[in-house]
Amino acid sequence: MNKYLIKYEFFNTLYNGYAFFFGAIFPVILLHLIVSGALTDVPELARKEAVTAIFTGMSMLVPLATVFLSHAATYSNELDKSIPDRLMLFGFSEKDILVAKLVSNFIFLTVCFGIYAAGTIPFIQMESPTIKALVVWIAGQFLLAAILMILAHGIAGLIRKFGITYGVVMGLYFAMMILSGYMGIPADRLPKFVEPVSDLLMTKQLGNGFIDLWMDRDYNFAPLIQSAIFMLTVSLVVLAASFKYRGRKN
Amino acid sequence: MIILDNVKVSFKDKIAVNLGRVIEINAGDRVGIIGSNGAGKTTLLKSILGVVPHEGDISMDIESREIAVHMQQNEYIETVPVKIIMEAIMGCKIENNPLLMEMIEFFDFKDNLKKRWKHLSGGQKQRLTLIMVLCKESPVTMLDEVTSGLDFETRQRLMEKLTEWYKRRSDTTLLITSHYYEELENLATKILYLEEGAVVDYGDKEELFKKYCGDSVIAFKESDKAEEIANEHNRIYAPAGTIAVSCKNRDEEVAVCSKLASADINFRRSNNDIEIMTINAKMRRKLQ
Repeated sequence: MNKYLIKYEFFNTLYNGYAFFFGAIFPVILLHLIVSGALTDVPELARKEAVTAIFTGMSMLVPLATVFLSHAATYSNELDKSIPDRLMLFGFSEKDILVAKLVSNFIFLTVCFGIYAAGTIPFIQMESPTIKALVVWIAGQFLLAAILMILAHGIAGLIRKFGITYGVVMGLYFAMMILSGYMGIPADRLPKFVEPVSDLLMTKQLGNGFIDLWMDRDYNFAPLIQSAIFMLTVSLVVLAASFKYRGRKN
Repeated sequence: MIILDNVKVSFKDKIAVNLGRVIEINAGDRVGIIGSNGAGKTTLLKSILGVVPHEGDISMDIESREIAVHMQQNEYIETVPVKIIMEAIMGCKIENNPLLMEMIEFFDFKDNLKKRWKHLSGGQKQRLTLIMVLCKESPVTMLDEVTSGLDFETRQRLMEKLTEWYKRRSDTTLLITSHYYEELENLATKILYLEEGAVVDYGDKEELFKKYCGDSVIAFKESDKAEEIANEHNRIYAPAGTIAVSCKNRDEEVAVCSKLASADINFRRSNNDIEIMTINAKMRRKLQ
C-alpha cells in the first residue's frame, strides 16, 4: 500500500472544507441545538435516553457527509478533469486508487468522529453504552462508511460529471435522512408503504432502535445485518457497473 | 519492440485510426508521430496504452501500464501541494529518490514544490508531469504534444532539456507527437506520418527525407526572381509563401545556392526538414 497516495487523498478530502464542516462541525452544532431546544417537553427521567438517541442519530451525519457526499463530490470532480486517468497512466490501478481513498477517508472519518465526540459527550447528559453496544456501534459506523464510500465511488464513476453526481448523492442523502427518521418525522411515524425501504437502511438501524442495545435491553440484530447486506450488495453492484462500463479496456 | 498490426480504432461510425499495415517500432527508436489535427496521433497512443478499444493486434515487450506517458491533459487535485502529488505518484519521499532530486534540479523545479497545483503556470505544470514521467525510467515513453499551450521561449527550453535528457538515455523507446516539426528534428530518428487515421509513410527520418526531398532542400521566400531560379531546378512542394528546390547532390546544391546568393535572395538549406518532407509525402499520396 502506497502511504504517500493515502496522504495525497487525505489532503484532497481535508482541503475540501465542506466535508470537514458538514462532517465534524455541523453535527455538533445541530446536536446542541436540538438538545437545548427540542427536548423541553421530555420528562426528566427519559431525558438522558432521548439525548442518547439524538447522539446516535446525529452521528449518522458524520459518515454521510465526510464519506458519502464528500467522496462523491471530490471523485466526480476528479473524473471531470480526468485526474484518475492521469494516475492510472502512472501505473496505478483503479483498485489502488480506491483503496487509498478508502483508507484516507477512514482516517478522516476517525478524526471527524473524534471531533463529534469531543464536541458533544463532555457537554451533554447521556446514557453510557455497554462495551458490546459501543463496539457494535463503532464497527457499524465504519462498515456504513465503507458501504457509502463504495456507493459514492460507483455513482461518481458511472456519471463522471460533478454537477449531476452531486445532485444524485444529495437526493440519496436526503432520502436516507428522511427514511431513517432524522428530518422531523421519526422513523416509526413514517407512512407504512415506505417502511420496507426504511428498514433496509443501515442509517435507520444504527440510529433508531439501537438505543436498546446501547442500554443493554433486548435487541434484535437481524434488521441491522439485513440492512448492511442490502446496502453492501447495492453498492457493489453500482461499483462493478462503473468498473465494467467505464474502466480501462485492457 | 512494439508491433502495431493493422490497428483500427472506431468511435461509433467514425474511424479514428486505421493503420492498414504493420508498424514495427524497435527498442531504442525515437518515433515522431506527425499529422494534422484529427489525424489519429493521440488515439493511436491511447490504443497502445489500452485506454481505447481497438481492432488488430498490438504486441509489446512490456505491459501497457508500465509505459511512461505524458498526455495533453495532465491534471491533479488542484488544492494539494505539488510535493505531496510527487511523493504520491513516485511512492517515496523526494529526499529518498536521487533520480527524482536530479530531475527536479535538471528542470529547475525546486521552488515550485510547496506551491499548490492550481498556482503553477502552464510550463511548470508540464514540467511537473514530465519529471514524474521521466523518473519512471520505463523502456517505453510516450510524449503527446508535450509543449502544447506553452509560449515559444518555454517550449524551446523544455525541448532543449528533453533532448539533453534523451541523449543520456539511448536505450529508451520514445513515441512523441507534436505539431511543431522543428521539435522532432532534434528528438526523432523515425517518423510515422498519419493522415485521417491512415499511415502515409513510416520509416527512418533521413530515408524518408531522401525519398520525398532528395539529398537536400534549399528553401527561400517566393518572388519573381526566386521563381525563375526554382524553375531551372527540381522544384518540390513547400509551405505557403515558400519555394523549395530538391537537390540530388552537392554540386546541384552549390549551383542553386550560388544563383540565390547572386540574386541577393536569402535561403535555408536542410537535409532533415520534416515539414517539407511531410508536404511532399502527402502530395505524392494524393496524386497516386
